[in-house]
Amino acid sequence: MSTSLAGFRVVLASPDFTLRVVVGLCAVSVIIRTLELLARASLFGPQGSLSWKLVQELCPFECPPWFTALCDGRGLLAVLIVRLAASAGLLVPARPFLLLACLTIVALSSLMLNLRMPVGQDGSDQMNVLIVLPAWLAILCGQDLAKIAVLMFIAGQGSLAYATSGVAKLGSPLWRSGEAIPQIMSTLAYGNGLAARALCSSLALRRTACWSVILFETCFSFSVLAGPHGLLGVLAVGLLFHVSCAILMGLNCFLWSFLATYPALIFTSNYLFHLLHTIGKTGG
Amino acid sequence: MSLGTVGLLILLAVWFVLSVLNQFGTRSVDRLRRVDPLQLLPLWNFFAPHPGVHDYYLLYREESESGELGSWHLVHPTQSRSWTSCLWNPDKLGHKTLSDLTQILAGYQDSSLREGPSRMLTLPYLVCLNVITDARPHSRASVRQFVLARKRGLVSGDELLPILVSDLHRV
Repeated sequence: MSTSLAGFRVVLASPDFTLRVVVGLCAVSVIIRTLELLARASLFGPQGSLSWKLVQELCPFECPPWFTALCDGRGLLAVLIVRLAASAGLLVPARPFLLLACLTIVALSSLMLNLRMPVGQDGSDQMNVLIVLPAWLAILCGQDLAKIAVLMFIAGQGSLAYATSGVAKLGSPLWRSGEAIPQIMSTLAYGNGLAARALCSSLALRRTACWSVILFETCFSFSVLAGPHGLLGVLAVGLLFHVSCAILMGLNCFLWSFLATYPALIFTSNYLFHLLHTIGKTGG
Repeated sequence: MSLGTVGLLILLAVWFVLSVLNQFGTRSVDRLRRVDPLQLLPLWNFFAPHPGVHDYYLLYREESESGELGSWHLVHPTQSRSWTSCLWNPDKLGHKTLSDLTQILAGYQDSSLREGPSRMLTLPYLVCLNVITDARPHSRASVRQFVLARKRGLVSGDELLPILVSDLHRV
């Protein structure tokens, strides 16, 4: 167990390799999401709820004709297909220039989609942008220090996401009373009838469910300081949490987007541990 | 250390600080959000403090040539989530879009934008009208009315509560 743990830590001690793992996991989320957008391309059409002629009202500036061409009809379809191919390219252990090319396409198309979809995006889209864009800039820089900084940034965003979500739930009477999860589980969009009925039948069960989520999310940010065993334990709980959210709530892309931050968290934890160790030695 | 790396370090530090500030709902942060059309500043308060406990429904009905209003037809949602949604869930796009539009509607400070005639110029109204215009006709009627409604979920057995009711529109 400890040998495999040590091996795991050594592998994720390389910023270059870790960044590739992070980008690869994020690419899975981008691929699924892009395929889903392609499967619902009619929503982006002239009569859809994401019709460009309507949602562009939320765009804060006048869009140039070339951008409008990319946002509408065949232009958008082409963007999504190129994005799909480029994100698939991120899963292949390719040469650096190919990785950079794929990452450039995914990063720029992410920014474009953020403008194209002022509504309809979710937290996994946000996390994907926060991974892909800095990773692209780090690979453009090419220096290890840039990759280390980006991994720390991604780990920071992951921790911030859990902490904010946990603290916001802690401040909510509906969450504290244990009523939030059964009510969410009762919806068609994010719910599950079986889970809703099970939770509604037991006050202890729904309080345990709500408080487990609150405690896990609130304490998650401290996992970087929990040491290698502690961190892996917290990440295992995190994996279980996201798999449950995917199964019960249909949050399929969240699983991959948030899982992508985990190698960055392991790297950051290792890096801080070695840094403190070195400072301690120098001081001693 | 190259100039590019120094620039990246500064950018990441500023980006992270602004991301942290964005989690607080203060007025200055609201200003910050308005200058972020690329949505680079995340908001991480998933399902909290007020979790979404409603489903949103878009329905329409037709008015016959004699002026009689027909029954309501559901446009969204059209089907329940399947067990495969843990891997493949394209329908969440439609759900999230309708939910976001409802949030936009709820966010209008001016109540006339939610209830008066000027509501017809709002984005949620125009999007719903756009969608029902294209919905499958159930008669030869060319006049339609839509309603955007919400309902609590599967267990509680709530009734549909209208949020936005349209005028009659020729389509």
